[in-house]
Amino acid sequence: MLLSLQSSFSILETGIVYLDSAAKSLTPAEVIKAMEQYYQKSNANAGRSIHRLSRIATDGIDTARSKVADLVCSTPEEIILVRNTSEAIGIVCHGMQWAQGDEIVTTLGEHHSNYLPWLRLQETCGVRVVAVRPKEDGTIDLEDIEKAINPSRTKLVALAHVSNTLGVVTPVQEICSMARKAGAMSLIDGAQSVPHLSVDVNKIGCDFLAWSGHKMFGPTGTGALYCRKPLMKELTPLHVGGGVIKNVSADSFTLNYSPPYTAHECGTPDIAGIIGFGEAVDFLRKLRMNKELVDMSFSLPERASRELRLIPGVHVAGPTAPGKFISMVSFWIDGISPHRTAAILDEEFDVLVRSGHHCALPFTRGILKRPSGIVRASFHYYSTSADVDKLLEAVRTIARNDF
Amino acid sequence: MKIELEFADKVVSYCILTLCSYGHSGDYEAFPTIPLNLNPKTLAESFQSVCLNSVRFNETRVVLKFMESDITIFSSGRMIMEKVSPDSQRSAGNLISKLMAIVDKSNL
Repeated sequence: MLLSLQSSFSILETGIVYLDSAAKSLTPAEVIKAMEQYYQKSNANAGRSIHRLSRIATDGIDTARSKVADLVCSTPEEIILVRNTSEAIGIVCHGMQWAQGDEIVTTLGEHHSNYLPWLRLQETCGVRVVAVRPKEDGTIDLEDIEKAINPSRTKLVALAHVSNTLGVVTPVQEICSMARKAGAMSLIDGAQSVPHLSVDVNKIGCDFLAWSGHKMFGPTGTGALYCRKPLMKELTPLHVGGGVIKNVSADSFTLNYSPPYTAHECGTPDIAGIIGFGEAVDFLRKLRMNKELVDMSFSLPERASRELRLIPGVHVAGPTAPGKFISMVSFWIDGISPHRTAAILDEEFDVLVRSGHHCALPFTRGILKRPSGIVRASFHYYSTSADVDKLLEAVRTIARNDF
Repeated sequence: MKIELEFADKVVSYCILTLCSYGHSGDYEAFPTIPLNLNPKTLAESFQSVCLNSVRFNETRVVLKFMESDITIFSSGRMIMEKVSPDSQRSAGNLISKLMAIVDKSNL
């Protein structure tokens, strides 16, 4: 199975060990082919034109939306197709009606995409950001969240399901329940969870779920915002223009909420990308039928974490308990900066990782106390135990050389 | 941004990228548009000859401290420059030019 899976990713034939899937997963041939077919066989705008090619393009988007919705157990009417997780969060941030004194509960472990929008609201709208401090291993104490939620002031609880720095899995179901009981809404950043876990918005009980296509085998420039259906009309669209209106007069317009996402999807979308996103969902679901592959999202980083900790001079961030983290391992080496480590891994060992602060400065600098950041090796279903072997051997050599 | 470095028999174009860093530490990567085949030992000896401290090398890279910055140079010509002025690819470019001016390029 693994051999045939790897054949979908021709880039792996170059001999690289690709361990940067948390930033961008590789794109399988099946997804590339689906996008290419759009340009070759149905290259037209979707939605309004009445001709045959337009109908095929429209059907491509509708089909993709259904697949994307089904992936997180929602309905197509609840899915806004976006460019990425950041845009999805922006739609919620700028679409909700805020009043002075409203509070947003989040954490200091968030990706900047789920932190900066709230800080800006704090500056511009007089809302207050209440940021819960994770522990040094990235885990969050549920009691701290509970204390931070104020039934009379908290309007939104916004946090990541899986952290992008350490891969820590946060029990979002319990947190969304706390938010709901307090009358607050909940937004889950699913950028790192949807690619690796079975996510069910009904079980989680969130109001919004944001994620990207490019971390789950899809093309860049694709993503989705699940928005609980009654809330679609409560969000002010981020952009208005082509395709979002029911009526326009010389001095006013009426938005079209039928289907509800219409008002939030302005202008010509990335049709080929969306078709590719839908194909990526099919690809992901097919792989998830193989339990061994699914378990590897936990077992590969767990093994890497366990064995990296045994190397003198190497420090691994994050929890040690199995099941607490997924899909990545983050570390640093005494006396060798993360950027230098990553460059050596690339240049001398063909191991491709990411270094720096991973768009999470309040966590890497403020909590981990790492002024130069950390090295993150992240995995996906095409990753193998041999990849972990190569990473470990390379890190052992670098740490031994000591420069 | 791009800069050009003169080697013994050719001019090599370098791309400079800003790496993830914060505050007063600007980190950059520079790589030649065509991979080179530098000799780390020769590079290291050039740097040591002008009394640059903390020069270390092996068969694939040279690591040194230069004007408060941490420099890594790979045999491919790729460089990692850390603790340079923040938000200034130009400073990183100037640093490379100064550094390479030290080197006797005819032996590379």
